[in-house]
Amino acid sequence: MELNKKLALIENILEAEVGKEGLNRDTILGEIGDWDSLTQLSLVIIMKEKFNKELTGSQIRSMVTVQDILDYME
Amino acid sequence: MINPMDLTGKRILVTGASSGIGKETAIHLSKLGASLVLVARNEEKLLDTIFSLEGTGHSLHHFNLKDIDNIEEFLEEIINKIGKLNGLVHCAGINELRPLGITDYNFLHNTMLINFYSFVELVRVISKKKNCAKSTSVVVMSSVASIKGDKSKTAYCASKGALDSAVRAMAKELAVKNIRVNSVVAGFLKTNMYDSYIKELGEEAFNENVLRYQYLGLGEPIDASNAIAFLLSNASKFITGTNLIVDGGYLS
Repeated sequence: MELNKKLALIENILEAEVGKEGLNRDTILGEIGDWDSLTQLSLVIIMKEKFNKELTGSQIRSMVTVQDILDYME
Repeated sequence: MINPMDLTGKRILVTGASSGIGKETAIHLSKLGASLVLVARNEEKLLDTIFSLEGTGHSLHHFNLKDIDNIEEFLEEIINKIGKLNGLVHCAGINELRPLGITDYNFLHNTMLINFYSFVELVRVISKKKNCAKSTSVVVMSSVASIKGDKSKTAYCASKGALDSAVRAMAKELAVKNIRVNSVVAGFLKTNMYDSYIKELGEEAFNENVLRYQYLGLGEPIDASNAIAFLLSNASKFITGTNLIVDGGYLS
């Protein structure tokens, strides 16, 4: 998947309000959208369905920036 | 001494019999004298169930209940071979947490297929005169989710609510055929659904969200099995169209 598609996916999950420039790798998750337990559960499900990756609770909790999510989107 | 929940000679079909409440129920019903017709997807696990049964006259069948269009042919083939059924217990079901933002039609449909549509199709076929005995009891596993909502459970709650409503309509329509239809509204029991809750949300969340209200503690599959056996037996012959709550106090 191309980078801009991955970023759009993350933007969608987070319901991020990012304006025209969109997300970038360094964006702090908690600052641009809802980074709560429901959002995290959505991310777990999407990662499993689209990338076949099983994220653990501690992996989720250690995520700070958009890049931390991208690292798992291989 | 009498056993009011005696099921000797009753032929009962159990779906979802390879794990959890379905497995426990199949074993329990066999101890009460029933002959079981077990249905599940997982062949290996289903074998494990059948080896745990007491008595004789049991059979096992692999079938994916999502294959709604073929349920009729599948059931009639079994019934032609072994005879009319005295009961149905629908335990097959899925409970996947999914926030509303990603609960799309496909996910919703998949949940309804296994939890609800397959049940209606099973009852539609079994309730035909040629397929059921003179006195038949249908029991379906519902959940407190039918009554009490929770985050990430729109699909599951709706599917269980659909079951509890359908039970009332079916009971009225099928009374003339001497078929009773009821659901068991279970609280939180120690099944793999509990295990996945703990895995996804943690024990602390379980204590805070569930055990605080379910003051008899975490239930066991046998608690549901006993309620199911009661609703199948003649001891409940005056009970139909109801949702029997077995929840350790959760909804009170």
